[in-house]
Amino acid sequence: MAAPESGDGNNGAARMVTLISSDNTRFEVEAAAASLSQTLQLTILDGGGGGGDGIPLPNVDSATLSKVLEYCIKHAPAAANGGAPNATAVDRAELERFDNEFVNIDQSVLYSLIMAAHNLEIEGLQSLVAKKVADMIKGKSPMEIRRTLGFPDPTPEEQAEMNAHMLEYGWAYE
Amino acid sequence: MEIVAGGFSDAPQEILTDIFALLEFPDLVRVGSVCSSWNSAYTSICSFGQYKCSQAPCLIYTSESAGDHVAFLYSLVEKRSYKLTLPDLHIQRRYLIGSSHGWLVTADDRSEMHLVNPVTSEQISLPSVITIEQVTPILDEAGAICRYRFSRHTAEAIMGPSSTYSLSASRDHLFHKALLFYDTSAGSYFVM
Repeated sequence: MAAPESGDGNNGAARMVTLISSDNTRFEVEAAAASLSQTLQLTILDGGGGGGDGIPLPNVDSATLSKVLEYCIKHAPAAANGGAPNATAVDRAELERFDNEFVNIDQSVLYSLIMAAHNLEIEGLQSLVAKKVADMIKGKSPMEIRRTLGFPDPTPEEQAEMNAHMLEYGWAYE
Repeated sequence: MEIVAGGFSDAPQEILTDIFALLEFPDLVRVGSVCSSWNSAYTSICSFGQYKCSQAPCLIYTSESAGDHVAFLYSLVEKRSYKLTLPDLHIQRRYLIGSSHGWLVTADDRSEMHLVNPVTSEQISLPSVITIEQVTPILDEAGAICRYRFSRHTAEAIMGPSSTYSLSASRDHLFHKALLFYDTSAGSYFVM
């Protein structure tokens, strides 16, 4: 992993923090990457997460956390540059390519990701997943949306509610 | 140890509103049918107008052949039109003098103005045309308003002779353009 020039640490060694997933897996990452999370940033600024301590994340499992960190590590250099005003078009295109690829995953993983991004307050990741889900919804009927996003089959009551709303806005379903 | 289970069917409302805020308007209506929790998120986003992106404009039009109660909404995003039926409203006979924030400002065939929401069929009547200083009602023998006199004056000067128009023709002369503004501090709209 390439160390971003974050200004953290004086002799080239970036400060590292440890995050502990709900299933007790430890992840060691650069503080700069973990700080993309507003929630973690406060703890890290207070000097937490270093050494043997680690920051427990009881709401995030290891599969999700590793995916979240993949995003944070990729986006940390640009974020450290204050939204990267001096980023080249190539850098931006590369991040965009990464983002598109990154959310090209199963809806259940998307759900875990958006929940984690929400809990950890990682704004960029939250909007990235929200945008992906919005794109998956576009142009679909309510039933197709349910199938796409892995809903269970509607109960008779739910079906009745759906029908009532669809009747009220019949024009949107022609 | 807490396990985050579930999926989009029981997503928290904040997550749903984040997603729905990115949808264009016909899609936004459709998510309201998906399930009751999605319906609540849809309803709250409609009431508070929390769209992140500004909605692409829709073209609205009526046609004589489709009848009095029908308006068509053409979505530029989807490049298709939707047929809206407004059972309580003779939308085709209205003049459309403005539109903002999803509301149409219309003038009916007595030249009275109403706000109309073409999607929900809501209608809000604006103060009567006779509350405009330059408009004086003319009554017939039975005491009903039959015409309006329109005086062409401003605070400074008289701009020309006054004219008299029938109830329905007044809207041709009175209204130029109406705009709707949202006052965030008051949480309400005003029309000018």
